[in-house]
This record gives sequence, C-alpha cells and structure tokens, in this order.
Amino acid sequence: MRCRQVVDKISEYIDGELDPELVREVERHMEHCEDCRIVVDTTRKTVEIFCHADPAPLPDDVLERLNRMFSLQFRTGGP
Amino acid sequence: MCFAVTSLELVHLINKSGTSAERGLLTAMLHSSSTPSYLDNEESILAAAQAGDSDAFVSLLSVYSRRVYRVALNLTGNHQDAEDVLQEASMNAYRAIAGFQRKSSFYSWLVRITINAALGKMRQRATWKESSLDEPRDGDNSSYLPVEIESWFDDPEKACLNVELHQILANVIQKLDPKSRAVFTLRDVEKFSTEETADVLGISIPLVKTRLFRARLNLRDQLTEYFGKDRRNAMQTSRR
Repeated sequence: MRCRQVVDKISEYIDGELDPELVREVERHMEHCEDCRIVVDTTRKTVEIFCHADPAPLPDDVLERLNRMFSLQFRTGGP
Repeated sequence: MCFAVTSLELVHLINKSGTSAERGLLTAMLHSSSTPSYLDNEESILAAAQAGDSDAFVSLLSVYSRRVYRVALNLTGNHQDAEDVLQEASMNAYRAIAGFQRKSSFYSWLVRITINAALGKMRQRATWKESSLDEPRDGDNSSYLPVEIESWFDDPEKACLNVELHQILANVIQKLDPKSRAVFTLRDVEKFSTEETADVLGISIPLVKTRLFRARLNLRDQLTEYFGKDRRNAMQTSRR
C-alpha cells in the first residue's frame, strides 16, 4: 500500500469502518512510514478536538430575544 | 424536585416577568451551569409539548438551544445570521411539534429544521451554490492530499484556554466550503451517524463520506498551524 492509498482510507480507518484486511495493510504501511503515522494521528486528534469541544455559551442577549419572541407568540395565540 | 419541573417553573416566570432585569436573572438561572444537557423525563415533556403545552415546548428548547445555535453558527459563520436561524428554527419547530412523528430523536428533528433554516439564510447570502465545479465526485477521495506533515504537541485542548480553542475552531471551520462544513458539523460536531447526516442533508452516503474526508484533512492542515510541534517550538524560541 502506498501513502496516497493510506490517505484515501484515513477517514474510514479512524472511524473503524475499514475492512479488517485493509486495516492490516494500513497498519503495516504505517510501521515504516512516519509521515502517514503523523497524518493519521493528527487527523484523529482533529476529530477528537471538535467532538469534545463544548458549545460556546449562548449569548445572554440572544437568549433574551428568543424568550421575548416566544412570550409575544404565547400572548397572541398558539402555534 | 426534578429539573423539568424547575425548568418549567422558571420558563413560566420568565414569560410572566415584567422587567428585562427579572427576565435576565431568571434566564440565567434556567441556563446556569447546573443545567443538564438533557431532560430526565424528555418523553413526557415532549408529549406535553405535542399536546399544545407551550411551557413544555420552551423547556425542551432550552435544553438544546445552545447546540442549535452552534449548528447555525458553524453553517452561517456569523452571529447575526445564527441568531436569525435560531429564532426561525425554534418558531418553525414550535408550529410543527404537534405533527412530529418521532421517527428520530427530538434533537435530530430540531437540527433538521435548523439546517433548513440555515440553508435558506445561506442561499439569501449566496454562500451556498446548488452546484460547484470544485465539488468532489462521489467516492473521489483522491482530490485532497495533506499539506502539513508535522506532529502536534500533546493535549492541544489543554494547552489553550477554552475561549481560545472556541475561537480557533470557529476560524478554521469557516474556511471549509459550505457543503463540507455542513457534513462535518453534523458528523463530527453533533455526532450524527453517516446515514442520519445523509438523510438530513438529502445527499448520498458516499457523498457524505467524501465531504467528511475532505473536511477532516483540510481542518487537520489548518490546525497544524496552531498545534504543530515545530511551530510551537519556533514560537517559544522566538519569545525567549
């Protein structure tokens, strides 16, 4: 397996969706290819950072305007 | 007293309160750090909302509004549009809740409505093209090769302040093309499955995979500029 083929399969590899035989090929390649190890490791970290990040706080003024919109809606009738 | 009852009482008080200061205080209480990211009894609250209980609907919405805003912000890329999308999606959900068939979770359903509102906003802004010449073909992963080959320093999440991290992630995600951004937001930020993502966006599963692949590698390249070991070492050296 060449570097380009490893990169092509990187998403499925880190999601654990790759065929076991291809997983073995990817891992065999990475044993002697530092560049691919780095790309796989940093791609996995990229997904983890976004996956673990808490949503930024909802600004108070945004929330207040949302509540005001619903208050008005409830006063003027149902859906 | 369980969270849902407390939340309903607070929502009721917010709606009845006279001054903006009162509303602000009550709203802060409703969204305080002790607020869980789910409702223990979501099923009964949802049933009440579907039966026309407005407070129950607002209670449901209050749990997810922060995440809805994040989806809207990731897609539209600016706070004003994200707020418009949050309001439009919330009102559309309120009007449609009685007909919600429960074929998915309430949150998936709410996100689908949010995506539609966001796409409408993006079409207005002409940031969403129906077709694009640089759009990858199904299964065509080879159109993206990594540019940056550099290890990252350990625990990049812990190495910067939460505010900094939010800003970095917001900056890099906005540099994706809008379609890859939508797929990445659903799959890797909101943790939807590939099938759900395809369903919500109305595209094929292979296209979800292709866009996700490109988004991940593009973001990896961009984040290497912040978290790359050599760059960090160079920055630290230059500070000495």
